[in-house]
Amino acid sequence: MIGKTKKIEDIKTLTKYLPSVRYTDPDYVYISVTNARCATGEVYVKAGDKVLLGQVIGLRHGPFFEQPIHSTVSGEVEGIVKKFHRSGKLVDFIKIKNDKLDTYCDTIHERTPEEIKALTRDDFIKIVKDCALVGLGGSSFPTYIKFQTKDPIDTIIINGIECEPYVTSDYRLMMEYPDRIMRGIGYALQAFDAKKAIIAVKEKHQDIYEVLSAVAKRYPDLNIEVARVGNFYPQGWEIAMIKSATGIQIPSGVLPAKYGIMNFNVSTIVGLYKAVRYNMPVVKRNFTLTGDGIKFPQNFRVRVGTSIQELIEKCNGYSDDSDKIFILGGPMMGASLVRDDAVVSKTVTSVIVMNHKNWVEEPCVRCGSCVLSCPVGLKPVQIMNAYKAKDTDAIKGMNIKRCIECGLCTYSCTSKIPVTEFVRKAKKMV
Amino acid sequence: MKLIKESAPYIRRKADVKRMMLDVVIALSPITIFSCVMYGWSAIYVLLISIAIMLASEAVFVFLTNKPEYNGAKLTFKEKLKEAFSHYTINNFLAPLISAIIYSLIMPAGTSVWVVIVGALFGIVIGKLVFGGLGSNIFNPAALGRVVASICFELTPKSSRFVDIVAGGTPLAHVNGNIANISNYKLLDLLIGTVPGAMGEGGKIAIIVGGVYLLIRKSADIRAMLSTIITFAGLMLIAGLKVDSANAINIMLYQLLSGGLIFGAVFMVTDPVTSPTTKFGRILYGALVASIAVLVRLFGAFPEGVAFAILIMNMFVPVIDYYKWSSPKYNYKQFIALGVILLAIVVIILLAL
Repeated sequence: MIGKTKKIEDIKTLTKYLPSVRYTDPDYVYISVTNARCATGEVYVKAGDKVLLGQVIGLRHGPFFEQPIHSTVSGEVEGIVKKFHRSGKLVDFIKIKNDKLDTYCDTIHERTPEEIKALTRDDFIKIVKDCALVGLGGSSFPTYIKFQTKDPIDTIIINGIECEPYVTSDYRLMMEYPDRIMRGIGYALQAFDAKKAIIAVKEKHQDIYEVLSAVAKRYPDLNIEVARVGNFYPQGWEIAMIKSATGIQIPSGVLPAKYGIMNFNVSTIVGLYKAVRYNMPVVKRNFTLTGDGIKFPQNFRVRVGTSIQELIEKCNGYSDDSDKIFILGGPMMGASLVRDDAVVSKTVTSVIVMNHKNWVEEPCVRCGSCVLSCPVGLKPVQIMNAYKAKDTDAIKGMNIKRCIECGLCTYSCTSKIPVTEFVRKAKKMV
Repeated sequence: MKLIKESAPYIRRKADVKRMMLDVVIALSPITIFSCVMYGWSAIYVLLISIAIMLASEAVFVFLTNKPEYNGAKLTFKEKLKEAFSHYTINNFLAPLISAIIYSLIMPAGTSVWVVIVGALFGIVIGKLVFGGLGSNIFNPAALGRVVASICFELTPKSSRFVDIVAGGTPLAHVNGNIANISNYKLLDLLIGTVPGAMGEGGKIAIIVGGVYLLIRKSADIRAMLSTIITFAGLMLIAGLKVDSANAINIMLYQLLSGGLIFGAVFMVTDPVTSPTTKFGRILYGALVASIAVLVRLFGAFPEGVAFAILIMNMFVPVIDYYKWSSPKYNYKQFIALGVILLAIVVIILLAL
């Protein structure tokens, strides 16, 4: 009880062994005009326009980058509707009626192996930028900026850890498309001129290890190693992952590239494969719909832009009529919504519907579990007290910028106090 | 069906304060039973009075701090009682229960009823409730009650079923002023607990069983517990070497096994509310409690110093936890600071003895 919390009760077994159901032809898809990183956007199409799969239908403006918006189906634009985005905000979505023909836009074409061999770093940057590839593990950080690094890269680490409980979309991706992962890694190695690649997976996932090792043998010219790292949380955090996979401790606030390391999520590397081989943006992704509030938890292979309400119907709806929590993302870091009309965007890994539990909050007894558990070495209880006392000097003095909002302080709290929420508020205060 | 807005994370581990406090009650039960058997009725009434006083004080506190919202109409006493009762949780029962058991165990059996009542009231009201109840107190309520009782009244240990009080009193009274005077009691008697003293200090084996249970259940922090015992043993060994080097080990064991040191280390130093939150903070806290206890025993007018030491260190907890120097991870600077403090105390002991 008083002690470091490293492991989180794993609830992946709800969906872990279920094959992904293909649900790639919804009647309508919804493409967001803005997202968490891009506050504004413009739309190039209007209601009634015919669009093709992969066609650029708009442009998002981020703080230091711009991102084309692609249609993920071919069909007809029906207009703009308001729906919930992954960030928890109500934003504009372009509604497109799917003609179910998948007519490709002429930008999508297959590159021959010779063409791919001839690609330079600048070509890769252009391809990745044009395909609007972002970190698909949830960060949605534009991938082309990672490709622009000036530092020499010698190791590429692929994050297949997926340390959030419940979520199994990356797990299924690795089980079902190991070949695409290997090819994607091949392209990444070529782009960065790196010596080796490491795929980090959880130690307890023996099956993924076997699958990836077996498939890696088919690519003898690529130096790919499958590293089994610890089962604890937050092992998927890049600094913890790099430490476990390579032994290199990266100080907080320094980019891994300075140490010759570049890391990608497995979904991102599959996106890279599609982008380089077919010049295709991300139009499908693996998705998990799970939790005790869903009748039949399920993995899906879905079209980007599918309405989550449709997927919930496919799972036979909600389990019962009691109050629920609807989470986009994982149960440790995801966002909760008050309405279920959300959409599977590129970066949505999962939706978890849980029966609402009323945690009884007790006074803090200073047991210190949050301090012992914090992976970045903060003192959440003191930050909470400083926030309550509105003591900005103390908050600044406690390195609060380091917080990765992993949620372990709330999770480990013996008094069920939402410590993470206080830390988040304190972060906003300075 | 309604979707409820919550903030991440949405799951919690299975551990709560209730369970932690229940573990402490369970861990206290061997020594409580031991002292009740040993002292009979004279222990049981101290225990019952303390429990009654502390639970009643807490109940009154809950009643006074949970008033229903004023809606114009005058509320009857019954309604107020009902409102207060809805805020009365298991914590309002277990926390004062633990304080009461610890308080009565560090009092001598057969203490006069009024002394027990005054000490218990002072401990719970001034030590805890005026600060705001569970989690807000600065001082350990049990230690405060005991210290007030022992300063205001003369507490005399009572003869128990198994042992008659030797002329001169408790094992620590014999060595007060001369720590080499250890021939009055055997170490084995000290370990088993067949010596006079406070009713819960005796049965070292029962205390250790409770301590091991707490550690297995992770309801207490091993760092504070061990650092108290190890620092105490180390400093007493040095004092023993200075006074009578041939008997140094025996002097150290005699001091370790007599008085409330082991009991304090297991049940009072580990109280999370009044101890620091970081790993090193807890080591430092334990080490300083032990150092002050050593200094009081060697040079103070009182034969026993653990309760004083805990109260003094309670005041330093915010200082230990101050954000400018407390760090959640160990670093060499902290251990240098601890080394300097302990060295200073060793120098004091060597010069003053």
